[in-house]
Amino acid sequence: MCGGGGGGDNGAQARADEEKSRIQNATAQINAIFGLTDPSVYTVSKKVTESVPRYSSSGEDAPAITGYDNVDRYVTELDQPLLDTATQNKAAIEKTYGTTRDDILNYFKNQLNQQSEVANRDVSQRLAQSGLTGGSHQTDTNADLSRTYNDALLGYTNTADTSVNNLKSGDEQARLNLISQITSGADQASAISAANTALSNNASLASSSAMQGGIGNVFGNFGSLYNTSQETAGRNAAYNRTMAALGLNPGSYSGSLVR
Amino acid sequence: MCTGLEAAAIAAMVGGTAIKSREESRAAKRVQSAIETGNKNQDVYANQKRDLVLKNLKQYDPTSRATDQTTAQNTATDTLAKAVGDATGGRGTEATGKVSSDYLTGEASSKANELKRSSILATLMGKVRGPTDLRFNENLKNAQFGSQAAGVGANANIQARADALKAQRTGQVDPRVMLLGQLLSTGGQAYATGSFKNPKPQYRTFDTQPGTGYD
Repeated sequence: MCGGGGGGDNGAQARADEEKSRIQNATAQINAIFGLTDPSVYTVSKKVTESVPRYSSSGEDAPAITGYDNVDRYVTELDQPLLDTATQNKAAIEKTYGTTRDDILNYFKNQLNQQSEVANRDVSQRLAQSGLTGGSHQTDTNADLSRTYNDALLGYTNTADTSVNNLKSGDEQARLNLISQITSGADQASAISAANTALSNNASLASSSAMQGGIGNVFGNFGSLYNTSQETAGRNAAYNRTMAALGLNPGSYSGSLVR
Repeated sequence: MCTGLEAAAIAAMVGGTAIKSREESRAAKRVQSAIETGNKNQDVYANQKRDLVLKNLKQYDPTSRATDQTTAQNTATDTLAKAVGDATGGRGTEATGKVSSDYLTGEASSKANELKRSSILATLMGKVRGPTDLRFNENLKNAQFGSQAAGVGANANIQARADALKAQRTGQVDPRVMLLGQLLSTGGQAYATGSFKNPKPQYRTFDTQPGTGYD
């Protein structure tokens, strides 16, 4: 006899066991792909066939073995190879996330460095025009530039981390959706729901993109310095012309009228 | 002691009941079998859907996914680089006429540098866009698999309704067999009870003594 249908339930329990086993094993496969390394996740059930002795009819003092029946049953055990695969996958996934974080940060740093370069060049030029090179004003301005750069870099590092976390969250959502589809059997409504979820996830992706909004004008505040320095240069020039007209020595003044 | 006819009546009564019982038992077995067939059919559909999910799962394999991400990044970079390469505007007007060779060299160098800068930015942007584009494509695939799974689910629903109807119909007993059983049972019972309840009357004779008075 091919067993598994004991209990006079016409195989209902065997079918239920097999169904549970399939769900458990498929779920474990999904978790392994997504790099979950919790061993309890990989306690999968396996079907084993056992030879069970068949005894002569009851009522005898010492029932004799009249034959053997093959009986299927399910045992749970840790699927070590699957756990090993999951561990390898986790390392690969983390590496990809790390690369993605660096890529996002590099994208922002590239723009930040360019803006910083332009801002430094402009500020140096304006300081020179204003005759402020080498003074405390230059030190203050450099401190402002450095602070602005560092603040922006911290902000973009956060953005890179947040973006990667969003990707992780999306991947986790994908894992849960797949598991949900495994456990819901052949249910039509859940399948439609899964399809809709997938599309709505795309809408979320678009709105949470790391490039959303771009870098903006980080050194925008230094524009006022430029205007101020231009104005200062103009005033200095006017002052010098006035001094010259009065017969005074405008070259004796090396500072700035307006700071 | 019953006669041959009476024994036949009892046999008919028992036989009729047995026929009805067997027909009902067969019907119950047919229902059970139909339910099992229905369950097996549902298992087939559930497995089909699970196979689809596991097929869809392959796109999340970290090794192939890393390759897919690189492909998405390269595609995005190419698209962005092409947009810049095709662009003609943006640059200020060049001086014409008698200009120094230094100016011309500087202008050419500046153009090359800007193109290089744009190319680097396109690469960086592509790398940032790649992971998002990859997930966008994955979600489109998820939706496609979802719609296929919904198709399997729809078939499962249709099959479930058909199987339920089959189970309902196979559960109906054969009215001719039941009628036969009923007739045999009722007829046999009627005859048997008629025979036992109406035996040949036997009379006892009593010697009646008239009373002599009252106390």
